[in-house]
Amino acid sequence: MGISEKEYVTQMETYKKNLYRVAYSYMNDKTLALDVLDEAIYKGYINRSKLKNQDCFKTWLTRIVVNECLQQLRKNKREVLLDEIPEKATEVLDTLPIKEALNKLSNDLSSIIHLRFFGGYTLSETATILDIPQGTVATRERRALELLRLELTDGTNC
Amino acid sequence: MKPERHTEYNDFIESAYDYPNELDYMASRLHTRIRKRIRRHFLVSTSSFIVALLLFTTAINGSTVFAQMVDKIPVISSLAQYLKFDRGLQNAIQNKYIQEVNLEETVNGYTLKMPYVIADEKRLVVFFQLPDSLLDTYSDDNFEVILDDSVWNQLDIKNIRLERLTTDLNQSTGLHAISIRLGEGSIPKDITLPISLLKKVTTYITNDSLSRKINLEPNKLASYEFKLHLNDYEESKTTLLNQEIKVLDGNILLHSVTEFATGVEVKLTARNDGNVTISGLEIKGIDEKGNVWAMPENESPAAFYADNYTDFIYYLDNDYFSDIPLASLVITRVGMYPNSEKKIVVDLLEKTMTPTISNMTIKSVQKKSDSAYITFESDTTTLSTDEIYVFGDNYEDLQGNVYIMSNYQSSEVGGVKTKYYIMVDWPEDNKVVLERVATPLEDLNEPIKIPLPK
Repeated sequence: MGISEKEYVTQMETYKKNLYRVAYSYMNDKTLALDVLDEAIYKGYINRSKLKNQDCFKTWLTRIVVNECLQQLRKNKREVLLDEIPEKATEVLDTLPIKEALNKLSNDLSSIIHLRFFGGYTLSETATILDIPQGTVATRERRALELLRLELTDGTNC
Repeated sequence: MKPERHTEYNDFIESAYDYPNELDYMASRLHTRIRKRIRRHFLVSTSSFIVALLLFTTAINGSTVFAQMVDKIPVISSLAQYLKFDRGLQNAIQNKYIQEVNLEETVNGYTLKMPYVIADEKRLVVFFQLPDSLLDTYSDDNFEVILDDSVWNQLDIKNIRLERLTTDLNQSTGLHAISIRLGEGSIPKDITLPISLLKKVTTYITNDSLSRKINLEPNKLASYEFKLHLNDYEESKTTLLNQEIKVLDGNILLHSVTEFATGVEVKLTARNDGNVTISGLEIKGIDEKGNVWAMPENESPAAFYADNYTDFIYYLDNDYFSDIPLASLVITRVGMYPNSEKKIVVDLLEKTMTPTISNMTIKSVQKKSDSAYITFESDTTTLSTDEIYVFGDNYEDLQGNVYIMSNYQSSEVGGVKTKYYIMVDWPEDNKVVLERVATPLEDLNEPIKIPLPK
């Protein structure tokens, strides 16, 4: 299937702000977010022939951005895996500044926050990007907010 | 929830909406990387082009005409001599299909002249004369004239060549040319070309006992904007074919052949959904008088790779003005590999490839810091640009994560072998997965002739 170079650039321009916010929320730094985004956009470009359905461009490219963020964070050795979170995680996270607390969450949980509240993605889009059922997105979202001691709603109805 | 917790959260979200200015230039940065990718392909091929020109010069070194051209913009009648590598352009010029524009701009004290352009619906070739002041001090090999990124946003450029036009390595004519070919759309009649004059910055690195010249980020001396109004183009002639052709174990779908004033475009799709992938072809055109028309020297086809197919546009020389139509196409060589050998796992410790590639071995693997420098050696030479890069720019680890290669170069060894140098991050499991994108072209025992309808 694939997508032409021109169409790729047009679509990328349409969604770049969503993508930047996601990258920023992961990297917590403007320059790092831009670097990651540049790399992901280029990877998307060279892999654009693998896009099966053009309607899925937004979620497909977002997944590449998320993977690039996680890869970069792994490189920076800043990732904390789920099983490293202590038993009384809620207490620990509650006392941390929100940025730090978000970094302490497992990828499974933090990805939901990055995509839903920073990227502005719907439940359905988030499920597609992370390749999990919508119900799981909802459950993880509740759990993440609980751990962060936040009561939020994105205002979208999916 | 504590109010301060909410405020802290809102601040964090708001900071994400504070977009940096650089976000406006994402497309531009992407195009820069794409352009570098295309140009890198070109730059490697330039050296063999210059060698070819040197041989040409040896044959004509008794001529005084060439000596007189030095340091002057050549008159139209002699310009064709500089374009030996592209018979389509030569024939266009000899038939006066060239526009004298005589533009010049001075920026930062550097005067760049644009004496001529040649254009048809799909191709634009612009000629430049470098400032004399630069050539007094340096050889024009130290300079490049490039198209700026914004053009890539306006035009669907599929192929670009930057040429230093000379007949002798030691001769600084100061004459450069840029050729672009489009995919979709046609060259606009009114077009502004943003051009930069660059001074190359090079260094030498020694690896595996070989010293190689590396181009670093060049210095920009000046930026120009040339406003062009192009004359009417000669009408193109398209023959639609939609013909299935079997090439050994593979299949191609030949879409069309179009004759333009400066060359021919052959559009085809290689179907890779069977057992093999066709990574390249050698195609020639034969006209009704039996004249053979090949690709311009060191020209690369435009290629769009997908999982199950590859779309190609091949470019052939022609003599549009001769009124002798093309009678047939001939496929003489093919680059083909089994789909089972598309992904090659390289074990950096064992220095092995799985599956193996015939005629190719791993010569050495060196670990420096966190990087692996891998040197491959093949028994073939880079006679064709199709053979310069055998692997794609990206590679994977065994978990399927995709990375971009830090460096990738190739060089001929004694005219009989080619070495490929690749630099990757050294993975924890000592294995990288390379994607094969090309293989050397091999002669077909029986060339495939495709007659064209009259």
